[in-house]
Amino acid sequence: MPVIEVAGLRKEYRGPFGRRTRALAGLDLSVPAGGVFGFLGPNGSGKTTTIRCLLGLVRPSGGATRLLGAGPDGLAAVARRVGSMVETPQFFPNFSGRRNLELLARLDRIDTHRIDDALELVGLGARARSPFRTYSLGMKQRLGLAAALVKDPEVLILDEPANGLDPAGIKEIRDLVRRLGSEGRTVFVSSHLLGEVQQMCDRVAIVAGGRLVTEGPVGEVLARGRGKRLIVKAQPLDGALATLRAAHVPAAADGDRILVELAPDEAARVTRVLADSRIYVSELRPEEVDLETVFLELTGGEGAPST
Amino acid sequence: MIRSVVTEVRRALARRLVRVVVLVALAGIVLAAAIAFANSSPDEVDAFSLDDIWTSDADGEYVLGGTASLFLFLALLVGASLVGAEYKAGTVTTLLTWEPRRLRVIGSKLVAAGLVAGGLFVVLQLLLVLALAFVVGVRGAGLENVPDDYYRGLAGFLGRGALIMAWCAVLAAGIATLGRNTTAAFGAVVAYVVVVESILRVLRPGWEAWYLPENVFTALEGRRLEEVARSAPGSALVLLGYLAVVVTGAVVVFARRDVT
Repeated sequence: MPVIEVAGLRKEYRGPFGRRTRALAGLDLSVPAGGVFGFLGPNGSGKTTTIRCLLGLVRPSGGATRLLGAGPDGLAAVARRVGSMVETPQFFPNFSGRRNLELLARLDRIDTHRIDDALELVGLGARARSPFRTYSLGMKQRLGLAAALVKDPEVLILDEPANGLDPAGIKEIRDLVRRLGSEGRTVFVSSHLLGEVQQMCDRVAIVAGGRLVTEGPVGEVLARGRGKRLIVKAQPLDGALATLRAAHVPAAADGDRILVELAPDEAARVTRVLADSRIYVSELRPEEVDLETVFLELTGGEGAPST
Repeated sequence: MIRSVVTEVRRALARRLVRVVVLVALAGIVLAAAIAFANSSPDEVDAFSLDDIWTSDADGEYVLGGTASLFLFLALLVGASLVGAEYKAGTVTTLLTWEPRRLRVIGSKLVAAGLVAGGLFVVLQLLLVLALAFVVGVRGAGLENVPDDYYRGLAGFLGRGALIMAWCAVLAAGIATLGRNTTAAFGAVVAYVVVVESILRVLRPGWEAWYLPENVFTALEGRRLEEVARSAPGSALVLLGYLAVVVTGAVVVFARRDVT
């Protein structure tokens, strides 16, 4: 059974003068148990709204959500098994990080040693007794992550967990998320940091305009954007370019290389054309496609993703 | 539900505002005792007495009556800020991810607001009574010859006071839930009493039995006041009616509102 199920999810927010803003336009999503699932999309694509609907914070305008089999009205039964962090986590500013977690943990009768463990795990042990208002953005993120981990949950829903973290912090969180995923938990991570998602997720879903664009294992999603171009290096470059064009091979110069608009399985055609003109290739390979490229292709360049 | 209420009470008591209120009240108690001490002498005819602290005499003025008025404002502030601070800090999201049952969340907040305000009233007023009674004993009219029903009457006053303070805090917390803001809630109540009811008093003098201050003080005193044609239980029912309207609105809105 999928851990997270979303079917035809729609959400419209109403403004003060009845103006409606569509956040979700029929999103379908299914997240299997175990591993790290990346939820990718440009700003305003509906990632956070989806998470808020899943957690019962926002009432959908239509469609259905199920988290561990529970709909919005049954969330109380599964809340103990779900840890979450929505956007930049908010806590009481004058209470220490530890005090904030204690007040939450008391709701579920969670042992205080688990709080200390979670704070240590996210690298906040030394500042656990400082007031929350003195925390940097990165420390606030870490505390939010600690709050999600205190329950020792089966499912973690993390909304942009790397927000505000420095490169070392991002790596720590990435390693932590991967470790949590490898322990058999399901980690659902929304992010616009494509490089991060590519490195830490097993599966990925890309959303744009409130709809699912594609979904699957990271390798498969990458493959969907693969095979469009070949990179060729040969000397003389101008001669090689002219030869290819003369043979009606779509090619363009790109610095010290030539980009050929052919699929990898047509690479032999490039070598043959050039060899016939006594030009020998020094490098011929498919253009490497990363998640950013696929993302931009699939979302039509919408948004400004970060790598 | 009890766990949620206990958590909310602990949170409320750990808040800086509540701690400042308690410290200021304690300083006020010490100051009041010092002033009473300095201005009283056992040899004087009108030496400081237990009746100056509290009296059942309808025409009498007493210290606890004055401080109760002050506590009304503090109860408003404590109740409004308990919920308002949650919205200001944005912690409602975090809380609801731990306890998705919204009725339980809002219920525990309202109950906690009432418990904290009522409890603080009783504890601080009792401390004031003890401090002033000490002055009565050592430098006032003395603690002998206390009427039989004095302590029972005082306990009744404190009990009614605690309920009124709880009412006030829950009302403010309910309005803060609707307005998602401490200042808005506090301001709404004060503006209603000071502005709206003042205008109504001029335009509709016959409606006095429905105004908040009259009903609050009738219920607090536990007897029909001269200017109000309503008994203490009647006033209590009116206040409960107002509270029911606000709390119902707050609960419905909180249960349905998107938390973004």
